[in-house]
Amino acid sequence: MSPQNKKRFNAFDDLSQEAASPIPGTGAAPLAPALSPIAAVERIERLAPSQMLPDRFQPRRLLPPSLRVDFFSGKIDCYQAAAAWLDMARSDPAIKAEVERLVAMGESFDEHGQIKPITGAWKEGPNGNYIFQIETGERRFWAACLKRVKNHSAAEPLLRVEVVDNPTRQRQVLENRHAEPPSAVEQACEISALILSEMGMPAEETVQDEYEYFRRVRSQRMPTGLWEKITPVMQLTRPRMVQLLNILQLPSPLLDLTDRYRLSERVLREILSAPERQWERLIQVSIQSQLTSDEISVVSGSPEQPVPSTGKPPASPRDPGREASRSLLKFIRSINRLDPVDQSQALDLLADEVVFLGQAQETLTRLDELSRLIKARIKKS
Amino acid sequence: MAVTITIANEKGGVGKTTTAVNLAAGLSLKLSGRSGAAGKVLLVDMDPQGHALLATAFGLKPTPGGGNLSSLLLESPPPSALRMTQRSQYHPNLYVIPSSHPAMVEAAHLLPTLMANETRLSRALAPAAKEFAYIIIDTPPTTGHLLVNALVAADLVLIPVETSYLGVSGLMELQRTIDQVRVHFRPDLKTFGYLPTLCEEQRSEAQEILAELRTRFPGQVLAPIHKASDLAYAHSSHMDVFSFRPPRHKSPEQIWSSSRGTQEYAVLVDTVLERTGSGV
Repeated sequence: MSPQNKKRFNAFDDLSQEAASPIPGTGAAPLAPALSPIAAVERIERLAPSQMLPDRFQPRRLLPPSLRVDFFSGKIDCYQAAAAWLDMARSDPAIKAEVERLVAMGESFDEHGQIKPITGAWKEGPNGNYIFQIETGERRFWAACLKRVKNHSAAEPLLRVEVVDNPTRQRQVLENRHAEPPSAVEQACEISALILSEMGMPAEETVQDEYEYFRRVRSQRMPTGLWEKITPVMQLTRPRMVQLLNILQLPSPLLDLTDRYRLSERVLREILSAPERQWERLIQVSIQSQLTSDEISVVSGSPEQPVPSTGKPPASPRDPGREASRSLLKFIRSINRLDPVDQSQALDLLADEVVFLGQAQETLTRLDELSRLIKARIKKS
Repeated sequence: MAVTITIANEKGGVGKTTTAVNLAAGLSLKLSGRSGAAGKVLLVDMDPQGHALLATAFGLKPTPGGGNLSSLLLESPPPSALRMTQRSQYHPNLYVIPSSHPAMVEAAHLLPTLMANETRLSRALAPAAKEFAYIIIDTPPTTGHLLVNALVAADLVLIPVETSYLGVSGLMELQRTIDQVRVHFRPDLKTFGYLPTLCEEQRSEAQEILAELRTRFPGQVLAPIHKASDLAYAHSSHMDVFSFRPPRHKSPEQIWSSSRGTQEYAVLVDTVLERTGSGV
């Protein structure tokens, strides 16, 4: 029989008409609704540090500034950064203290295990692949890296991580505060980060200097109710937070320095009240001699005073009246240097403090008296 | 949120992997001008047999044993799907979750013993869905838990159909599987269309089958993909056809060249974009 005469079957004979319908829901009713979303299940995984990346804009900065650029640009990996950090610790006491704390944490993983997971989310990394960006737990990350480098281990450690859908600055700041008390600079950055987050101003990766991002808060007008949102997280009053934000006036290298040596807000406030050209010198002096804010005030009054070898500057004669008038003059000079927005903020802050301290009536009386005396002199002249 | 398209047919050799590879590559080229999730495409390889073709088409080495996609299916809770992704060498906005043959064979054996074994891929991909505009899933040519997982994870099913007697004869079984998935898991699962592949119109059988498909599935039959040497050569060169035969001036507006394979898959890409509301 020739090929043309052979019986041919239709390929569609077996295909029923019902099967032709592409519309869902025809025929039997569905037994189950569409898949419900996953309930909140903890997503815990184990990752090596090389699969993770700290948040550049974490208010609490751990990695020294000289290593940050190379690390976050991908020039060096986390273990190379840790090795360089260990080298730096040999010659810098502040870095050494921090590194020792982290190394001790890393050693404790062997004994006690990793108590809390690192939290974060998967983000597109610098090379296009996905990397786990850390929200909280950067200290555990560096502790593991430093431990591996110090012990020359071949295998990478595996850290417990929890994947969160929406990392937040609030959670980051809360974790920081639970971990250890922050420095004044860290607190300033935390407040700034919270404010910028509330105002919908996320950090951009193109920003070269992370402090520039935090400084943006100083030029923002605070919407109503914003301070009330931040207060429960920071556990600070509004005036206190404003005081801390003032620290961000310092240039970035000085911010790094003051952060590293954990200078207090009171000392920095005193330093900032001095002329800008004196800031670096005063910070150096303060670090070297561990000066209090009162001592800074004295040192700033004598600009070229060398640092005494005993560590304390010579005391000026104590005349309370002169001290009071010098302080008021300093206040007037400082406030006149500010721009109008900062001036009104500073006066707002002062009014809050005076009332808070229960000295409102007294202060008004003194200021009225001073005002009368000044007006009399102007009239005379 | 990503539109998930599963490429399925229970018959082997009909062009599922070729379609998955070229559709994903074409979509990534078309969306290359968009930023963020709107410009990214994810390709998931659920076929234990096709792993070499799929992954290597994008400059990726096949993953070693104990691979990654299988852990999405077997572990509870599953690891992050984004962790498994690898970026394509040829298309910076195209990501692949490759698989390995031994790991996926093991996954196919173990899946029936696990709880919620039909929904594992869907649940594993859900957190990653917001990172991509499209997720394309290639499937094995067998009825089984891997195929069911891919269908449950899908919004749309694209069915390549070889224009031959054997090519059509597998459709009934696939349709039953799709209907069962609709009844039990995804009432919203839609058939995107039937894609005639390996088409040789000079053969009368092919013409008859095309006509019959259009009669039985009106409005559902997509523009055919003809048998073309470029498609085969692209595979052997470890490339998608758009990278194998690029146009002189590549742009999101024109991704096809003089090669028929590129032209026909470009039409499919445009159809997908248009019907899913992402038309450029």
